[in-house]
Amino acid sequence: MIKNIKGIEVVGISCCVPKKKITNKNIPNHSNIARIIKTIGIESRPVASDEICTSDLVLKSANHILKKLNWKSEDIEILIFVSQTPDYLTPATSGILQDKLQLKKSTLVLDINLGCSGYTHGLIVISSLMKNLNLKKGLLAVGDVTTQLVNKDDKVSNLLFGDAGSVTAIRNVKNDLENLYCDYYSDGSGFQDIIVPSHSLAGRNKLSNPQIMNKKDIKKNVRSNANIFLNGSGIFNFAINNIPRFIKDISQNIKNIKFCFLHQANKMIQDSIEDQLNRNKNKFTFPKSLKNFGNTSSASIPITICSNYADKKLPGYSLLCGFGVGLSISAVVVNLRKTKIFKIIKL
Amino acid sequence: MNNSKKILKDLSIILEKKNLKETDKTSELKHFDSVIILQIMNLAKTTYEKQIDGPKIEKCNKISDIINLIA
Repeated sequence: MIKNIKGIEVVGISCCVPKKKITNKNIPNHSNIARIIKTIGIESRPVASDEICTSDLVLKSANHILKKLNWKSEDIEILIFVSQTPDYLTPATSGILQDKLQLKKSTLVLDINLGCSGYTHGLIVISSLMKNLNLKKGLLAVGDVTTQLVNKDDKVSNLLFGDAGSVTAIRNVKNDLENLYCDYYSDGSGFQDIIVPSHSLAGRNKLSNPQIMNKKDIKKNVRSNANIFLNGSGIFNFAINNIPRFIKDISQNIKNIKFCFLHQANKMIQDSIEDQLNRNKNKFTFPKSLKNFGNTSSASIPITICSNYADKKLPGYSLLCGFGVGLSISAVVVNLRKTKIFKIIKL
Repeated sequence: MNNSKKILKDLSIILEKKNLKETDKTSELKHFDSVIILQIMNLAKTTYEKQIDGPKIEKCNKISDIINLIA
């Protein structure tokens, strides 16, 4: 069921990626690489060096957007950080960002553990809190350095991910015409389809030495329990069976949707979703960023917006739809006509 | 062209094998990895409106088994 949060304005979106870039076709010892690149649609990806944490990418993006919007750090009343690769298991990375950005100590800061649906879930949470607590200005920070969770001998996952951080500036306004429509869906029965099996310090999943040893699976992909595992067929079925229906329901209720920004998982999932939606006469524009950024997890929607529409305006409503880890889906329909979209910067 | 022949033709494109036969064994194909399985799932869903689980495709010994899943 679609909900409406009234009086929320997306003021600006900024993104930051690492300078280092990996071109997939140059990856050595990979016999089927051309065929896989064609299927997943990813030619190159920004990749963080081992020294870079998610907060570094987000921090640079935050400083950039504050400067460009001429927002003062002391005016920020809430900061939410969404990531599946936080700097530490504990403490929360949002606290580190609060200090580095010199936000006032009364700022509400919190972390959310989500990946590919993180941006849209984050927008829903920050908008709801800002409305309920009457907070005027907020920052939604999302980002991941997923490449650091991938085993370099995992032949498919090693070609998929890019690293990025992004910050979206949100304003609580009195104008009831600035609507943020949203819907969400969770199916925890699929929790093992995207998982880092052993990344905890407590309980039965805690990281211990025997568990982190590399093992070969039946498809000869090498992984340890500290690496990310993707069940491609499970994710594929979840996405193509749920996303088109989910988007169709929303678009039947909200008119004038011009753009559909999907999470950039891989080309095959994207094509299949587009195909099903276009068959149902939902003629949206589907901007993309996969080719040069890969799957940037929680940052993939803002990366797609900024890589295609920097310094431009987006007329009509934009539907943003994130899906993945959990398994989870969320969608937000928002008007970005006044939103300042900044060029992607590098760290 | 009947459905089986059409599926065989579609599979020959995915598997990059011109003279693909229903009797061909999946274990003897040049490529039969997780990406191929996703492509077959995609074909089944988008062209034949059929949802197939990846592990079922993985268990197919012959091309005819895959055709039977999709048809």
